[in-house]
Amino acid sequence: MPLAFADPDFPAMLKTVDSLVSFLDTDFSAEYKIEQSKPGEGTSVTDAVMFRRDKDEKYLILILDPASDKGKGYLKIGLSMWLYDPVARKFDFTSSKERFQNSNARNSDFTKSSFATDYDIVSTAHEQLGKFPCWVFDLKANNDDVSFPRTKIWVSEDNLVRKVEDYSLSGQLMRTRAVPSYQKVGSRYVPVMMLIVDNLRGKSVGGKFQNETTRITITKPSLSALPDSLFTQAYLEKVNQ
Amino acid sequence: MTLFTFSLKSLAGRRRRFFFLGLAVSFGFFVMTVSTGLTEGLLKTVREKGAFYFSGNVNITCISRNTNDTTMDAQLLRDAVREALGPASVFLRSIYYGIDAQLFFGGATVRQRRVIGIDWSDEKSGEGALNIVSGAFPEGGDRRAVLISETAAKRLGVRVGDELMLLVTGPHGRNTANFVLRGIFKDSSIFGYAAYVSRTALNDTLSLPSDYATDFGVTLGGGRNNDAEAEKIRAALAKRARVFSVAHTRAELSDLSGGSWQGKRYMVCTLDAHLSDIKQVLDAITSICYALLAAFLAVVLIGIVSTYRVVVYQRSAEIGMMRAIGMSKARAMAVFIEEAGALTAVSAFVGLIAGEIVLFAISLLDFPPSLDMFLKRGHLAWAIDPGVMLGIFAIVCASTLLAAWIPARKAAGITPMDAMRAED
Repeated sequence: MPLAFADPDFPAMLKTVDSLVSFLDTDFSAEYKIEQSKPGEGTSVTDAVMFRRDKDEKYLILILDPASDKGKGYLKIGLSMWLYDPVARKFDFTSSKERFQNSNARNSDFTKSSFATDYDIVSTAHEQLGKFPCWVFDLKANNDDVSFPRTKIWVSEDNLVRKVEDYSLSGQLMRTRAVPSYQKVGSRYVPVMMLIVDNLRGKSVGGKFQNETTRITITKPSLSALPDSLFTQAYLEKVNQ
Repeated sequence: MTLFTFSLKSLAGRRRRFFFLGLAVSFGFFVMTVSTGLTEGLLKTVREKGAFYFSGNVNITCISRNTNDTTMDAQLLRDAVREALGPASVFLRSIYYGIDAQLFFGGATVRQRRVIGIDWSDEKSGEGALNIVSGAFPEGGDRRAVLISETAAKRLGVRVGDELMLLVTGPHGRNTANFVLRGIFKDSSIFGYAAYVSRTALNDTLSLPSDYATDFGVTLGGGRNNDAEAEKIRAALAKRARVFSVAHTRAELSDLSGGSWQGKRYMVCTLDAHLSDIKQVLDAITSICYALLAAFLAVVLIGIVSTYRVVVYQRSAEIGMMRAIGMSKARAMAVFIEEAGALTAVSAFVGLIAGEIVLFAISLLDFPPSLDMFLKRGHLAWAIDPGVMLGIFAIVCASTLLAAWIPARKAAGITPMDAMRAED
């Protein structure tokens, strides 16, 4: 078989996929708008600011809007994660597998990409996804810390993830994510917009079943260095004083 | 020809006259069969479910004051139960009662009233009490297995084979563990807000020793008196350790742990203490049944007395003839008593069979989940206690014989001469 048609090195490709959207040599911050649509209940909007330090597996998300949630914060340090409630002035343990602000996003969606380390490749295939020719990776988790034990990702030729299907252990499709476009930040990429469809939850409206969806828009990405004190519980308490 | 056969033939010959009386007895027995069959079935189902949920027909826990030692001495408890009851089915459980117990799946969460750590192989017999509607009861040693209720499964959107995360708080803080859903049981009643996992896996999640247990359960077969057996166990246990008196009610259960005492003590509790509220409802249903029985008996008694008064009047000539050819007073009386007895026996049997047919038909019907506490796989289970039915039959027979005895005595007292005059 001619070398030009040989399959790529898939494990290496997954590492590239992770590295393009992770910030191991810099800090990262951006503003996130999360629009949650529930059939028959309208759309709720949450504005938040995100601070990430991927090399230390830390992030802090501070809710700016709506006013009722203003000051709430999510702090992740390694495998530990807390949710700060400014009204009760207390931290509650939470899990990266939990929903973010009752949306269809998981807390784990805001951390660095780790397909290459957390999953093993079960199979691959080549498929056209709209205008993108993609490699499809069927992945199986190799540890219990990930949010989904099975996942399927569509990777375009530029090594960016365009679509993700998350499955439960029994093979039930739970979530579909689409990332139609990215913005370049330094040598890395950040989605411009991400659409999440919850395949499990929804409601029949007018006789037709509609799924819950979440649209996440990311603006003002920055690679500026962030102070160490930002990734602490004290910072969340201080910012609410 | 025996007197009983004679009575049956006499009844057959006068079937029109006795038809409505027989129908009344049959209907009464039918009502009693259905009502007691359902009540017994409900009680049996609730007891089975309760015994599984509340850790046995007799349950032993260990509490302490001014000491951190709440370790159960399983061997000591086994020895006490063996001394009290001989070989008995016993098991250990580790139960988490914290209000923060939560299950996570797919970003959704559901709280659990209690997380019950059990040894799958020791409690395989309790499988029937759980009404598993999807999946199966886990095999012994399956540390990753979890069983949850249908309500919880629906709220989480989880199905058998999926992985769930359990969050609990142990002595050293909050911890999580992943379990695989092996089975979903149908129960939206108070017995439904629990998740069952492997005891050792729950202990590990709570950072407790693997063999740790909070409850020691004793399963008693049907028909055994929980209160009496609990007293025997308590007496045997008192020889080995400090133990409270047996708690028979929920009030006693909470009162016992009060008062002034120190150290570690065992508490023996019967299933009825946990089920006291439910039992009150079922006792009320049983009382209604017995009130029905009393009303039915009163109606039947009046019917029998009236019918036999007419019968005696109409059969005066026949009685006189029998007396004239040498039948004794006692034997003449026995004819009427035997007739009433045969009527009751045949009618009761018909009522019993009709009742069982209706009970069987009811057991095929689907009932709403609001009745889950009393249902087995969505159906009402029924149970006929032969002792109870024999008792009811004896009461009905005694009552009808008593009712027949008054006119029968009058009939036996008729002289052949009076009988002939009456015929004129």
